Amino acid sequence: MPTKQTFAEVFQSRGISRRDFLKFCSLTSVSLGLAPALLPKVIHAMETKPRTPVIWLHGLECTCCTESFIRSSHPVMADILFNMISLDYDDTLSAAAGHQLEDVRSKIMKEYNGKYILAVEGNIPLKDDGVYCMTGGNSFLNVVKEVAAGAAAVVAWGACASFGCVQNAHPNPTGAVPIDKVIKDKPIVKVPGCPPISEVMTGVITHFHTFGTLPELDRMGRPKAFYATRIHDKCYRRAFYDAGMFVRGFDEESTRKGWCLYKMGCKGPTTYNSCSKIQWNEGTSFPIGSGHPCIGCSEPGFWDKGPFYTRLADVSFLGTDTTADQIGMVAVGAAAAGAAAHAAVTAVKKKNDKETEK
Amino acid sequence: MGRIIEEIYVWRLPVRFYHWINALSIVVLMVTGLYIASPVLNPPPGEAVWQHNFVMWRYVHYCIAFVFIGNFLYRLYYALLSDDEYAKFGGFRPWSPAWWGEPFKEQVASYLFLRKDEPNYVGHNPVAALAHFIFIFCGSTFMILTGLAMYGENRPGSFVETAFGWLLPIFGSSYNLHFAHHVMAWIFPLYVIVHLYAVFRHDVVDRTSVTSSIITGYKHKVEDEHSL
Amino acid sequence: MAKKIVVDPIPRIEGHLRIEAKLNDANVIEEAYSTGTMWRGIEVILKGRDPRDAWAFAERICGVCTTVHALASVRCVEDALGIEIPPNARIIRNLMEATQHTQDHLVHFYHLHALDWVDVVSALKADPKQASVIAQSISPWPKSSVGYFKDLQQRLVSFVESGQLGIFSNGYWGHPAYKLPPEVNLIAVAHYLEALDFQKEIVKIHTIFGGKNPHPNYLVGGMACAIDPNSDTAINIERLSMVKKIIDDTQTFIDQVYIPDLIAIAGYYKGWLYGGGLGNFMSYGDFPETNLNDYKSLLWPRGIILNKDLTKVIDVDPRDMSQIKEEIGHSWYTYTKGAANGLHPWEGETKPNYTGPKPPFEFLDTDKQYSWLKTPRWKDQPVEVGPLARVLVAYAKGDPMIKDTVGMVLGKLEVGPEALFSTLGRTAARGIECKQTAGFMRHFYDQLIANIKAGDYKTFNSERWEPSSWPKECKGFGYTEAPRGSLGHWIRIKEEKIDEYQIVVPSTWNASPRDNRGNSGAYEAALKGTPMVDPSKPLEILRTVHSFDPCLACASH
Ligand code: HEM
Ligand code: HEM
Ligand code: NFV
Ligand code: SF4
Ligand code: SF4
Ligand code: F3S
Ligand SMILES: [Mg+2]
Repeated sequence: MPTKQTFAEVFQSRGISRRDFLKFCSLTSVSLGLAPALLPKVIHAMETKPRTPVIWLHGLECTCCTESFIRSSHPVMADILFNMISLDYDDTLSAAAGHQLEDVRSKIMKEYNGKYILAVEGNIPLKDDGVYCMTGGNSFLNVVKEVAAGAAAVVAWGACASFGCVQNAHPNPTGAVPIDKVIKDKPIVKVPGCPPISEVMTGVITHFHTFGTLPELDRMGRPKAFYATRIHDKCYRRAFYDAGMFVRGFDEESTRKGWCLYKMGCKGPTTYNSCSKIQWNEGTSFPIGSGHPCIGCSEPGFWDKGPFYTRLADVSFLGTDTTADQIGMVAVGAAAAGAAAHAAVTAVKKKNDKETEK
Repeated sequence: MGRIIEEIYVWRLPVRFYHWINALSIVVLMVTGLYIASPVLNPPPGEAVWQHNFVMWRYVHYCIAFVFIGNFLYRLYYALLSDDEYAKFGGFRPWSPAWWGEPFKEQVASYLFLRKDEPNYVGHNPVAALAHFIFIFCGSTFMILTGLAMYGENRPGSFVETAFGWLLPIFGSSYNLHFAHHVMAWIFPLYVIVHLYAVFRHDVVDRTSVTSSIITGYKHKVEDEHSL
Repeated sequence: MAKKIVVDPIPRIEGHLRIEAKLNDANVIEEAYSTGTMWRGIEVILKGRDPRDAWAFAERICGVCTTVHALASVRCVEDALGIEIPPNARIIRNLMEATQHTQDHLVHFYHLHALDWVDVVSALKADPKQASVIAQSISPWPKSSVGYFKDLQQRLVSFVESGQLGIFSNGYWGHPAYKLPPEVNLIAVAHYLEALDFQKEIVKIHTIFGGKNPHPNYLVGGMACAIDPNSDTAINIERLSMVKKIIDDTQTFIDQVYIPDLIAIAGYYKGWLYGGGLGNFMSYGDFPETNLNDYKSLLWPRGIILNKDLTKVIDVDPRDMSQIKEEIGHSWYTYTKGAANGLHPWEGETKPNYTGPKPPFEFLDTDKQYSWLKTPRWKDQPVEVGPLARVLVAYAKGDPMIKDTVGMVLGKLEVGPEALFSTLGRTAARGIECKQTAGFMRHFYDQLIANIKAGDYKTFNSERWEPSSWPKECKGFGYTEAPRGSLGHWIRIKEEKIDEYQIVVPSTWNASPRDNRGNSGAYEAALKGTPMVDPSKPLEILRTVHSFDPCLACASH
């Protein structure tokens, strides 16, 4: 078997000069937001590491995370596939099918035991022995457990694998759960978003390959490099928010002027993601940039926080849909009415007491 | 009904001071909080960066929130470490079955008109003490914790965020924090209505003059009162 | 003795598809069974929600054909509530839909389908000089020098020598069913990589109008993106110029790369005309020039063709309760009124009921229920939907543009129209349609510009935004021609909430299991009769199944 090539060798054999290689390394580190002092480390990693094998599994999902992944502009897909990782098993791109494809999976699991990355896109249905998602005649639940056992780390792509996405919204008919409800003994990097931004996804891969470590995670298990602050904290409409200049309807004067979408239900103030910074599709735009409020697609449970066009979710209360304020006002009203009734009874009783005393 | 025997000094200045700061800050927090959730005023004229209309509402909410927190801690300190017996909620022992016994039952019975005469207390009556505990103590704690966790989000890595950010995963998401904070805010107006009613009612029914007591500090001692 | 083979998992599709096939002694497929092995319950989840939110849930049915479910969803809600959208919104939606078609087809051809025809490893043996000559003879595409192919080949060599083949691991390289000379394989591999790079550009049109791709934002009543040529935050000339450039580049790529490759590759497989299948085709039509319900204005025409008879195009009305019905005789569902009869989507329901074997299992019981897909039928007949259906309906209706493109492609291949009824025909139709929709992109761009020039900036109709303005009860139908075929959403709204939501998807039509009368759907019918060179390497099955561009997340939802 031929020996595995390092990054630098692959570059070299592709006829890319050392200068270009170094330039690539520094661009990568810049795109990852790394201090210049770390550059030698990036170069060293790329010079010595073979491509990390990745097994990418699909559960209950829409494949949009994969679609987002292949939109990456820096690095581009060809670079990722040829130079960064060895995407040995992937439902969307693999050439082989059936048992030929399953053979690849077994081979990677054996040869690279403890060294490969398991990437999961989608939820795992737990209900009814997992029959709501089956692959190769087995339940996805079983397959995930099997592959996770020998993985160095798990990457949870998208809202589905990270927190549970649309299929896990109420009433969750398949008992769909995110990956961390099933895999408990492996480091899990959560990359939420429906889907996540492509450069965020490839950034996570590049970080792992380059530094040999998982990126630093926040309390929710997300890479700090991309999820440290909310959309709102970096939103270009923030000045309008601060000023109190709010859009009150679609396609109005204020909409054309780009005022803040807070009153249209924008979830930017409670959503951790890079949309307002990196933006989408090579910085072309992002939801708010094209006039639609953020629906909070990288947040746990965002589907059940609707309607999307109001700030506060409707909650099911005694069989009706109400807002927190309506419940509050009803409670306060009831208290006032209760007090008034109580006062009335007190007065009557007092009168009676007086009469009996007499 | 008892007969007024003497005036006693129940609510010392620190308690009265606390009480009014607390009342005032709750009103301001409620109003600014609801405005933050739903800014209804018209947009200001002129360039956005010169205007701070909405920011000011949040700023006031945060400033008063810290007044509210300080005041709360101060009352806690006063209850635990001062020698003011009336400020200690001394009789409040909800973990002991005895506390739920006669006096509590009598007070409840009285509120439900099941009992002819009204018990009365120089300090907190047991039902009031329970209500204070649930609404004021627990409610404030909840609002403070969720409030601080949200406040910390404004500056990741800051002291507040480090100290209170752990609430985020517990609540599940930032949105849930906002939602919980918003829903729980409503217990305050709820409490105030019941509280005011109770205060005025006691004043009328058992003539202990409790309404003015929170201003003057004096209550009337009445015959056949229970101790504390 | 007949033997049964299973292909599962099937990659280079969307979702989880399983094919079980019975072969005869000559290794010809006698019967095929198509199974969708995942179900999420989106229709169930949509119940009780605000109809204005529905598009976002529906859109998450699929990220490959992103956009189309959102579009069908806002259309069905608007239909139910009687909302007339402004012309700009209609144009922008059409433009986004056309964008989706071109991008989806390009990705399908190169990344999901090509490896069924292209042997990557054989490209290592190619003569770059010869490849360059061939490339230049079929297209003016500039990236076709000897050096370019040489460099690419070197990259390929070192990639293969690294021992880590990645997505190409364990492919069917060297399989006798591969017919391309090494040079054409090399050109195809080059364009595989170029297309991978280019597809991400096309979708930026979605990003401009919808804020992101995948899953751009839609809005009931219009579009959320404001238009104002004199605003720095709305759609202005900079945004529009970007759209125009993308359209230019897309047309160039399709004309100079996709279509020439298609013809070149197809030329070597003219002898492999299996996979025709049903011979019944259906298109709802799409790209309205006026109102969606004025289906005479649709740029893609509506109609049904039965038994390959191109002389007659029959009308289809998805609102007619007697025409389209979903059956569940072989699906893991129950109906309140029993499984014997199909239901029109307006009276449809979705109640899962798994009766298959407990996993892990070897075979499904294909005589009973064996799929998470329902079985949609038109007047009890199975029909094929998708690019081939659309192209045939337009062709049969005499659409001049389609006639031209079809004539050009068939002429270059030196085959007659009957060659279209095959796996390869399906693949060719997709290319033909892709060229057509790229033309639509320009058409709608021009319309948008004309409207803006005339001072019309309106993108949203707010009349029925507030739920209080809605009728107490209503129902609606929304449709679109998605890349994979006719897509319909049927909604019932009651007291401001979704009461019932039923979705019948292109891949449900094509990949459906047997109907109550035992008739196969399009996949099953197309596989029947295909000879396999080596049943342990199911390349022929992949070819035909891939020619439909399966989307199983769509199909079962
Ligand atoms: C936001 C509004 C208010 C809040 C949150 C509030 C809260 C409280 C609390 C926590 C206490 C217990 C004092 C302690 O032991 O620290 C208390 C007692 C008292 N408050 Fe208020 N208060 C409010 C408004 C008022 C008003 C407007 C009045 C009178 C006009 C009033 C009259 C009294 C009186 C008389 C007591 C003593 C009650 C007793 O004997 O149990 N309060 N209040
Ligand atoms: C009686 C006590 C309080 C009441 C009634 C109150 C009420 C509210 C309400 C109604 C909101 C709007 C929530 C939403 O819909 O987003 C809010 C937001 C907030 N409150 Fe409070 N609050 C109280 C105490 C506090 C405290 C002690 C803090 C601590 C710092 C605090 C910090 C905040 C913050 C950070 C927000 C979020 C503002 C934003 O979205 O920018 N609150 N409050
Ligand atoms: N089948 C299907 Fe779709 C399409 N095109 C949707 O309607 O792919 Ni995901
Ligand atoms: S997270 Fe959202 S975009 Fe990604 S697979 Fe799940 S539903 Fe699709
Ligand atoms: S548009 Fe949304 S994210 Fe931007 S400032 Fe307004 S509320 Fe914040
Ligand atoms: S909806 Fe999602 S894409 Fe970004 S702006 Fe909001 S997190
Ligand atoms: Mg359906």
